[in-house]
Amino acid sequence: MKRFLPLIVVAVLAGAVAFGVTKWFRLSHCPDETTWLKNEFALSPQQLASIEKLRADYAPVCAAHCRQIAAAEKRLAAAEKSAGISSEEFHAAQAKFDAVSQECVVSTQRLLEAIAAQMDADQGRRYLAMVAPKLSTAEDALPPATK
Amino acid sequence: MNDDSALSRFLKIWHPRDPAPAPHFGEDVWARIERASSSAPSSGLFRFPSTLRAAICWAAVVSAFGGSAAAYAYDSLTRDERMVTAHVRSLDPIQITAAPHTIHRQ
Repeated sequence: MKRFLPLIVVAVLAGAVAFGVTKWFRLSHCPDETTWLKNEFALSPQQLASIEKLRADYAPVCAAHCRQIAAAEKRLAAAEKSAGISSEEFHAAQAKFDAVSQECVVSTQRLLEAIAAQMDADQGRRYLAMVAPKLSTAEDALPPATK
Repeated sequence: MNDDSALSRFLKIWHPRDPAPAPHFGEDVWARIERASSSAPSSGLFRFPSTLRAAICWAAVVSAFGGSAAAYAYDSLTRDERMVTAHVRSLDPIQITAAPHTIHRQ
């Protein structure tokens, strides 16, 4: 057994180094999101341009939603701290937070459906099947204390 | 005829010379045998050094190939999952807000 120790050590080291180097190389040559979308869903240049326009149009809406969520979360935390979780003020803040979160979820869903609509029918269905499980629900948006 | 008689006369008087005996010939031979046997590898680890080295080289090559193939397969299998996650994360305000270091696309 002792005779084969160098062989085992060299084999394990060579395998580990090759794994690490290949993984690093593949990660560093990973396509960007747009290239991946184009290749994965066989998008034509027109389809890709439409999707890019949808995303560009959605960016300010998304930024506004981010600000609304952050503000609602802040109000919720302040109400929890000042009046407690059984207070009227906290419930009002929570209702506001839920409404904002729900609005964001619906808005993002609509965007994803609009993106899918730009693709060929089969590819669009496949796109929605892939992205839908990754989308947050309003429940995901709740701060840990209120869950 | 003349040559034959001359050669015959020469052979009659010619005696082969005995080589001078090498001093300490036997001791030198034994000393060389001793040196050779003391420098030969005696442990089991390098009893067949060339075979072991060849095996190590082959193991390294095969293992490197296997490791590289495994990394390639792993990356190919998980790439879609990673790209979908990144794609949704760049569009979903709830995920963007939850991860403050996410760069927002303006």
